[in-house]
Amino acid sequence: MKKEKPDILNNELREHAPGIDNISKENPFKVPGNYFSKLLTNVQNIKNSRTERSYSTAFKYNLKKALVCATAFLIIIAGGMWYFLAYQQDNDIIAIVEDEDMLYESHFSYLADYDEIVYYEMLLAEDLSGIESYDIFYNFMSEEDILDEDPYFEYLVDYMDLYQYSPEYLAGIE
Amino acid sequence: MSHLDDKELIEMYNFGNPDYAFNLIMRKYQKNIYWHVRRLLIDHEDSNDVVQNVFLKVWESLKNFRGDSKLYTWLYRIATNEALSFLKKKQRRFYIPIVNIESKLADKLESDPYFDGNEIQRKLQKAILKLPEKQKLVFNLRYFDEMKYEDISEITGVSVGALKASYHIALKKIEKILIN
Repeated sequence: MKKEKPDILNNELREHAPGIDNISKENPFKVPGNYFSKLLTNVQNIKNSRTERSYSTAFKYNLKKALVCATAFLIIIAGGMWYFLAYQQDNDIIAIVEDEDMLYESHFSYLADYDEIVYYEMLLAEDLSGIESYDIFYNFMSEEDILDEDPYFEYLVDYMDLYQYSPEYLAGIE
Repeated sequence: MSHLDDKELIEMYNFGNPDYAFNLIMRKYQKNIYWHVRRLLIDHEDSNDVVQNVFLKVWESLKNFRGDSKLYTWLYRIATNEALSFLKKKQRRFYIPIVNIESKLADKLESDPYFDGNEIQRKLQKAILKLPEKQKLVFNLRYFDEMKYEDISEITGVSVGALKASYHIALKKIEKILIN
């Protein structure tokens, strides 16, 4: 397992949290004596007992599996029929939007409240392709916003890369 | 400790001696996997149960391992999923809201006979427990396991850019908690 270079890790700590740079990384957790030497034996014993049991219960397991598959098939058919009938009846739908798309757009407008001028400059910038999601959010949010445990911010940081919207689309001019 | 690299271990499993290969894999990674799970679950007995399940799953799934990711990131992914599933099951079984799960784990730190750290290390562990799930994962993997972002990305499925943001935010939050 290749680890990160120590100087990169140390620089990260010094830059973002110098207050915890000097805390010892020594493992404070302990295990009972000889735990790791016994762990492999324990796993082997469980593995072997499961193999023996599996031969005598194979028939019951296969029957159960068949019943589960049949039930799942019936549920899928019933669900499909319900979905089809429900949407056939409703002719008033104007548009169907994925929930996550709506959530993303509403959260992006929420982000705009932080600094509208910066947000629109960012949207109208000619080339955003080289900017990582990390830089967009980390440089445009204040430290208080970051520390405020904002769930929308965390959602956007996690999923920004999945939604490759163009600036024109976000600005509503595409 | 095995002198064989991961590729050779997988080849041994597929074409040679699967039992022996599995034993070597387990000997090589059991400590890493155990400590990763332990940092999430705190309690040794819970961690022991989860780690045993992890390696039983590894045994059952190794034949399907295609090598799209590195072996150890695959192991860590299984371990992470098992540990988080364990916490969710515990929460559902005892009707404990997520906030109380954190305080339960923090209480364990106070009374755990297998915790041997000083006061600042105890405070650090409690601060880590307060982080949201993704930040806690990234923090543990980067700070304690000293993993590269690319490997953490394979484990969590989150982009490197988002991981950097998560880790830096986690560092700031922990620093703020410890200072206050």
